[in-house]
Amino acid sequence: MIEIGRLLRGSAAGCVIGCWVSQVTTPQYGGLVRIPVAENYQVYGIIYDIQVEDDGLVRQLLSADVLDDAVITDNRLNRNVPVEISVLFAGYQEDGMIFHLLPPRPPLTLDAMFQCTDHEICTFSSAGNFGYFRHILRASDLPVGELLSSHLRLVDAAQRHQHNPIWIQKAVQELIILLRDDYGLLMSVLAALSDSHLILGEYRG
Amino acid sequence: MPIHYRAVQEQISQAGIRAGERQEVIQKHRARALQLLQQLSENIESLSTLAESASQINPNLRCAVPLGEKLTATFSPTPSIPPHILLAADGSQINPSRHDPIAFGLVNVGVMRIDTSQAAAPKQFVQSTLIIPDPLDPEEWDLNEQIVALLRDLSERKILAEISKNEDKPVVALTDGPLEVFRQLQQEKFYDQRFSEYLVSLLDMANQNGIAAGYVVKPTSDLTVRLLELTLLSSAEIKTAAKPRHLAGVIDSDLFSQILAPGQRSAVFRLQSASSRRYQLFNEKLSLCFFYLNTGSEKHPSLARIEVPLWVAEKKEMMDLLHAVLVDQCRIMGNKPYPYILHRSHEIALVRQEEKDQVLAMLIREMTRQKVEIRGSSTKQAIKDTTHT
Repeated sequence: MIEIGRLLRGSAAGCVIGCWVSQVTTPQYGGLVRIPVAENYQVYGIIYDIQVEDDGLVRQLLSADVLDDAVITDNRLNRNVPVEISVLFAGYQEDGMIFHLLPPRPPLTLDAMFQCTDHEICTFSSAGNFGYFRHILRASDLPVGELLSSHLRLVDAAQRHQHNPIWIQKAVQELIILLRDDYGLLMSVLAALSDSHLILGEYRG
Repeated sequence: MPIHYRAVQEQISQAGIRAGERQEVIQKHRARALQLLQQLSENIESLSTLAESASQINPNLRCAVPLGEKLTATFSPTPSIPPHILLAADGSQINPSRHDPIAFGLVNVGVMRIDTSQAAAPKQFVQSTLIIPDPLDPEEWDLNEQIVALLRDLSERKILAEISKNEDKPVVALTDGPLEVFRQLQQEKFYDQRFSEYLVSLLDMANQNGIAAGYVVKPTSDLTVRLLELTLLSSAEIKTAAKPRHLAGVIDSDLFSQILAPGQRSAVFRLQSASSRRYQLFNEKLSLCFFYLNTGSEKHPSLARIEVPLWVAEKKEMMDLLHAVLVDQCRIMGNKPYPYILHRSHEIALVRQEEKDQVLAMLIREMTRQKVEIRGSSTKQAIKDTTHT
């Protein structure tokens, strides 16, 4: 279990996690994470933003000609400069069952967030019929195409490790169905998927 | 009610006119002081004798005494820095307030340690010491800001000496501000006891061959100017605490910023003062010395005054290492030169108001649990808290 950070603030649809700069090597844009809330209840989400905050000292250090390695490691490991990770809720697990719905009870302050293992990614993404794509497609203020392509690339890798290479084809087919009435967004999503080599170029319009 | 800005503006205008008039005099004094510095640069022995005899007449005399290097000597940092352990300790404190329900103080010392031979991140830790005065001890009961500041300086010094004991490489131990501790306390016995402990810790560092230094940023001292001024005074004038001032308004930085190129240090001087004599009397090795360092650039000189004990000032390899380390540390901070490690020690030590409130709440809880009588906040503080929220 890799703990990424802990919850700073949240809402019914998503949350923001705070973590140390040194922990940022683990989470990835589009990655699936889980936040255990109670014994048989945990919330799943997709990382859609990683913000590295600055402060006065960091800005001051940039005015120097050179930057020592010791100073860089000191700032990354010792200083209290948090990184904020924004998460879009994608579903939850209760009593062993996966639901691609918004969680009935959001996680609370200081709940820990963990990166999902390959097995957990496959379990969540294979449950139901890609219902959690709705949450991503609804987030009109996000670069949906980029987010989906990153997410699908990570899930595809996990599914392949679990001997399920056809998951990606089904996922793309589902996206085409979901976006059939939104040609602009469909083309944007397909272009991003093509750029990430998840689909062949002929899907482009 | 806001400030009466119109009245203040009138006072500012008058202050500006007066400052403009004084500026001309100060510039003349500055030119005279610089001329004297250059003229007397090699008169090391006669200046030392003069300062020595002047201090006999006036024990409160505060000035620089040449230690052997020419007054206008400049030294560039060595290009390479040998592996060493760099330590810094900086304290922050909660000062006692009689308006609080419980009188208490707290000293929080932040310590940073960098091993320059390793790529690992610097180590950092904080030592917090709560100070609760004993109401049955009249000396201790009168806890005030001066006492807390003394205990802070003592904690910094003790921690540095303690860490240095376990190091196997040369140690450079920095603190912010002068090494000279001078506080006017009514509690003489209390002060003497703590001051002795301070000197013992400093001597520990000397016995370990560590390099102790106090970094004074933006120095306003006029110790060298006062030395030059002695040459303009009659012995009768020296008796009157070196008054009148023939070079009033000039500070050492005005002179050394003209002489020192970026990265260069000045000659080392011994500090002549009543309080520094106590260091000397305790152990000759602890005699306080100082030099100036230009940590700025060609366009923007930035002078710092570095206080070192005699055992450091006398050893060239120690001075070279300290000099190079300080230049390197200040370089890290770019256009606002100041030792990075000192800034970080300060950053981790800093006590905020909400932390003070938290400690006070913890104290009240414990005293209540122990059924100890608590006097409550002063009504003045209570009203302030009400009206300012």
